Amino acid sequence: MKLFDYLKLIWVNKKGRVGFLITIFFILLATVGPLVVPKPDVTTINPKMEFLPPQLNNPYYILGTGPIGDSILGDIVWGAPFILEVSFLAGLFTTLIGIAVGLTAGYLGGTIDTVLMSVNDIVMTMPSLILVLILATSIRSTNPFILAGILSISGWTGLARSIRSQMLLMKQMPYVEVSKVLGLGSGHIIFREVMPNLGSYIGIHFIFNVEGALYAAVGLYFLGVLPVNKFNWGILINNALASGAIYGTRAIWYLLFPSIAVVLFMTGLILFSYGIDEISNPRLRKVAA
Amino acid sequence: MLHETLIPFYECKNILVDAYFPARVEHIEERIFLIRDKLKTSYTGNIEHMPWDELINLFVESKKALERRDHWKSLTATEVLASMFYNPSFYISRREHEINLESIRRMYLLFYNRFLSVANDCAPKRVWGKLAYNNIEVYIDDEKSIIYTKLFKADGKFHAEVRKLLGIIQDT
Repeated sequence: MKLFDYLKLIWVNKKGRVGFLITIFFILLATVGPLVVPKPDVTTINPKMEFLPPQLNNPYYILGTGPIGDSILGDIVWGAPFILEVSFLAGLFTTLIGIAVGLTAGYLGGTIDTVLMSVNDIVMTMPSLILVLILATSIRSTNPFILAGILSISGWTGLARSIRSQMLLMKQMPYVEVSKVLGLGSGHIIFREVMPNLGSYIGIHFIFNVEGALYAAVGLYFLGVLPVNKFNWGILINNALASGAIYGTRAIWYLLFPSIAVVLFMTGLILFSYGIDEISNPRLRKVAA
Repeated sequence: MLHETLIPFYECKNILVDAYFPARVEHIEERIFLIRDKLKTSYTGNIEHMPWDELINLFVESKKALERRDHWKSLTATEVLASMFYNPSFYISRREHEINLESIRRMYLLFYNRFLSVANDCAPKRVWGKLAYNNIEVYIDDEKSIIYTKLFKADGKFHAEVRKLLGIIQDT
């Protein structure tokens, strides 16, 4: 199926459409946003500008201000690239590791398969956030690639298992004779029929990993496990709570809007994955097409 | 002890199609496995060929059954939450069985489409081939057939028909 046809199917599905639009909005926020919204650098602190509520007459301060009079909108927009970069890289790493491990284990078999699947099963039973917390406190890096590597430590296991299972299925099926008679090679069957069938599932797996990495990245900064990074949604939430936002002080907006950004982005990704999952059903796909 | 008989086949271009067992399998989607490459030896048997059109209709019926088949289950909220907050692999590990079934379905459909496109454009020739069973494996044309042996072990109707055809009363 061509990409355009697939996008059409996502558009037809209500959940998929809403999720897709929200995801695109955040991608644009992270890529185009910093070009449009000025950086919220404050050189002179004006006490009158601290923790202002939303200023409807000034678009830059439409979401209010932070503890040093910085624009919350600016903080969110300038924090978006790092969060999205880490989340999408973690999703990508996880997917690539899953495919590589699954293909190696399934194709080579034997001892390599046993070792890889034992590691896979051990990692699969570990709750990812706890593992990530331990690694993040030990490494303490702000490099997005290293952070993404840490965040993708456990998410690859299910995908690896599934890819391995497909390879084993191909090995065990008595289809070789029939495919030879019909002039179809194993490569054709694996890469033109089996792998595309996995496409939607790999896509959903990728999105779930982006979600997991997003909330883990924000969570790690919120918990103060990682070195301070000026523009980060987790640090905004942490600062807001430190300023007593939860008790209904003027810092409430500083807590509310970054939290909404996190929740909205996650909701978008969830709806997007729900949509893709629904159109993975061959029957629904046929009806929609 | 070797039991053997001659069964009818149609030769269609370079494909040999079983003209006896397609109507005698329990799992109709596995009819596609009843095709093979040409025989080395030619014989003349007594068992009549099933009419070619009827045979093709059986393959079309199998293809349609595959097209209708759907293994998809809805994603539950628990699966979504566990995938997000516990381990992102949770989702795909729950879907694994369904993915396997869908892969098999796609592969079978590919075979049916390819076979039917060849079959619709050929003048079938009637031939006979030797079917043999040695109490362990099934042989076609004096060569061990992995497919016929698998069907013999896994498909009850096929198993009974082979035994009936070869005159085997009870398992030895």
